[in-house]
Order: sequence, then structure tokens, then C-alpha cells
Amino acid sequence: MQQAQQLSHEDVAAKARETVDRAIQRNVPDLPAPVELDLEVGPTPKDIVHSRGTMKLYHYRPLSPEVYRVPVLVVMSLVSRPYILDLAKGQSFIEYLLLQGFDVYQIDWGVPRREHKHLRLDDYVTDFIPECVAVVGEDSGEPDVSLIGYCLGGVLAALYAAMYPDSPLKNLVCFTTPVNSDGMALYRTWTDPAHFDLDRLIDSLGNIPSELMDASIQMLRPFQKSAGQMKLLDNVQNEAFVTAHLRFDRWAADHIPFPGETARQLVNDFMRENKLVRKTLELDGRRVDLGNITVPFLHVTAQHDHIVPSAASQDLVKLVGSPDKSEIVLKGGHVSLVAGGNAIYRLWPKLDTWLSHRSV
Amino acid sequence: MDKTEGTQNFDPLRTWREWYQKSEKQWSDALSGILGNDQFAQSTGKYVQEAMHLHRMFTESMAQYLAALNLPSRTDIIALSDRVGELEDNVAGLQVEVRHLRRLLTEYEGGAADDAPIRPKRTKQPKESVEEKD
Repeated sequence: MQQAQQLSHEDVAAKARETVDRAIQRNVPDLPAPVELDLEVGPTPKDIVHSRGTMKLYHYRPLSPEVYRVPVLVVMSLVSRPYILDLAKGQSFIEYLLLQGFDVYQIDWGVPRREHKHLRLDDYVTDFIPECVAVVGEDSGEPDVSLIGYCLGGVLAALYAAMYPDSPLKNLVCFTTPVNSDGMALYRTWTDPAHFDLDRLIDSLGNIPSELMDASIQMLRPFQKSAGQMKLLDNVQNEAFVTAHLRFDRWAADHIPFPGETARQLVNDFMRENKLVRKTLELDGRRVDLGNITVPFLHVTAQHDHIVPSAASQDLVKLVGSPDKSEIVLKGGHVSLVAGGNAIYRLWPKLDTWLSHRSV
Repeated sequence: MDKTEGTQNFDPLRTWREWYQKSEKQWSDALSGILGNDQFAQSTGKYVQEAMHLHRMFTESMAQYLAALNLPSRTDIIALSDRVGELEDNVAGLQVEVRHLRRLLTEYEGGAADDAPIRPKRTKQPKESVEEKD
């Protein structure tokens, strides 16, 4: 008792950790010494070049002695944290782009608070993105910029490209970008106005809580998480696998709230009325037609994407008006497309080839 | 020795786990079929509404108990988190300003700040390889 009183909190924590480690090692044969998992994410050095509310525009420090003329601006989705694109050294899309000689900027939308519940798609497309494009131009000293949008970030980038055909946009790249809600049958059923009172939900909660966002994504493939845990158990002695899995898991569980008014707009205009495909969507009082996009365009989709199935994304390339447009369909899922082995060996080199020829 | 090792490593659940991983997609698809019907959507919609109502009632009454015990409620913690978020945003704004001022000062003095990011030349050319047609 006397001894316990002399121990500091740190001593007690260290003792407890040691005891648990010993117990695990005793009971799991051949388990290597517990690894200190370095789960630091977003390791690529960067500077904030612009900030407004929760939004931050980062410029990544170059990793190449010579860069392509046209800078790249990555537009992240509003649904998840952007560090999936910069997960770890050697497992980072951003780092890859920098090493290939691109000058990279990224928009991080941040975590919306209650005061941001009023933000609409219009704000992101006609205010935040144009502002960031202007800052990139000023900071880089270049009149052109390429946009890369992931998932809903792809929707935002495509809407911007469609609404500003005379903007400094040089190239547009979208990853797994949904445009046709006919291809998102589950979400459409769940948000059917006959049984889902969206207005009441948003009016009382403000923003959509992260737990609800997470639950709706888990329900799209209910057993995937448990299968992933079993795979982890089977590979528990593979340190590299465990580290990568835990990093991935951390990101997957790290959802953020979704701005209420944007959710209302997406469910009503996109999910229920499919206005993007029908060319009836209006932002800031102007009709949006993806046919107005005339810059070189690349769309990358994943064959086994259960979050944005190909039925929901495959129309994008048809709707875009660019004479130079192409689509790449790769094996893999929604996230492994940008962050897994599939990304490192398949997508990134293809993107490098496509974008480098259009960035001089 | 080999026999002992074999016994030690024998895991009767491994086969089941492998089967589960391989058949996960089929199970998920089957369940999604159920989750995607109107009846489920209807009951979920109803559940969400009721849960929201209950949650509100529970939160209000719980807040009183917690306040009496001098403990913070979830709302208090979210409010605190929002304040921290505001501070982070303000710090980010200051970082941008400081960076901007340093740049101006450097330009004025005609040198480069110690921590100024290196600006490589924008002269890189793509590799000679012919672009793939997909």
C-alpha cells in the first residue's frame, strides 16, 4: 500500500503495460516483442499557405530538385480526413507526387463545428475552391493549376471545373467520383423521403454526426470490418502488416461530421432527384453542366468499389465535354485505390504518366 | 520436435477464419439485400426519429444530474472541443500571416529566410516514354 502511494501515474501505466505485454507473450506462442507502433500520419513536411475557418490550404515542401511547371491542387472529400493520401512514408500519394516532380497543394476542409452547419455545396464550389486556386496561382507564380479530387472531392472539383470554364484549370483528375445516384441503390432507398425525415434530422442536429456517417458506410458492406479483423489476427506476427492495418483502421474510424446544409442539398438534389446527370443542378443561381468541362480529364474508378459503385461513377467521363478525356478502371476498392498496394503499383504510376505529359 | 511444433501451431479456428474472409463479400451482399429493401428503410427511418427524440430527452435529464455532480456533459465537452477548434483555426491564420510577413521582409531585404521552402525550377519535362492509352 505504502509502495503504491510512492508510484507516479507514469510508473503505474508502465507497470500495467509491462504486465499486459508479458501476459500476451506468454499466451501467444512465437509472438515477437511488442512493437512500438509508430502511427504518426501525414508525415510529409508542409506549410499552411492559406486558412479560412476550418479550411486550410497546405503547400507540401518539394522533394525533387526540379518540378513540372503546373502545380497540382488536391481537393479532399468532406466525408473523411485527408491523411489517407499521406498515410506514412512510402505509403503516401502526396509523397509519390512530390518525388515524381509535382508541386503539390492540398485543401483540408477541417472538422466542421455547429457554426458551420449552414455551409452549402455552393460555398465550397463557388467560394472556397476559387479562392484556393487563386492562392495557389499567387504562391506558385504560375497561371495554371491541375485539380485532383477524391470521392466527394472529385464532385467538388468537377463542379468547379464546370462552373468556371475560363478558370486557370489546366487538367482535371477525379478518383471514384459519384455522379449518378441511380447507381447508389442502398443510399437512395435509405434516404427515400417516404420514410426518412431528412429535414427533421438536420434541423435538430445541425451537422450530421460522424457516428452516423460511419454507420452508413459500414452498412454498405456489413461484414467487411469483421473480416478485416480476422485477417489481422492471421497476420499478427507480420509487423509490417499489423502497422499498415492499424494505420488504415485508424483512418477508417476517424470520421468527421458532415455540414448539415451540404448534406440536405446532396440528399435532395443528388440522391433523390439525380440533378447532376439530369443537368438540372443549380449552384449560386446558375445551372451546372458537366459538359462545360473542356480541359484534359482523367477519371479513375475501382472495380470493387462498394461505396461509389461503378454504376454511380461511370457516367462522369461521358458527361464531361473535354475532347481529351479518359477513364481507368483498376482492381481494388474505394480506399485501396488511393492508399493500398494497388495504388502504389497501379494507380500512381498511371497518373504520373498521364499528368506529367500535361503539366509542362 | 516437428510434431510438437505442429501441435503448438495448430489453430482449429484458422480454417473458419479463412472461409469467413473469402465468403465475406457474399454475406455482405446478402445482408445488403435485406438492408436495401423498403421495409428495412422504413423501420430504420422510424428508429432514427425515435432515437433522436429519446436521445434529446435523455441528454436533457442527464445534463441535470451531471451538473449536480459537477461533471461535464457531452455537450460541454463538444463545446470545449469547438473552442479548441477555433483556437487551432486562429493559430493557422496567424501562421499564414507570419509566413506572409516573413516573405515580404525577405523580399525587402533581398535575401532568403532560413526556413523558407526551397523553390525548385519549374522546368521538369516528362519521361520520354509514350503515354499509355487506356
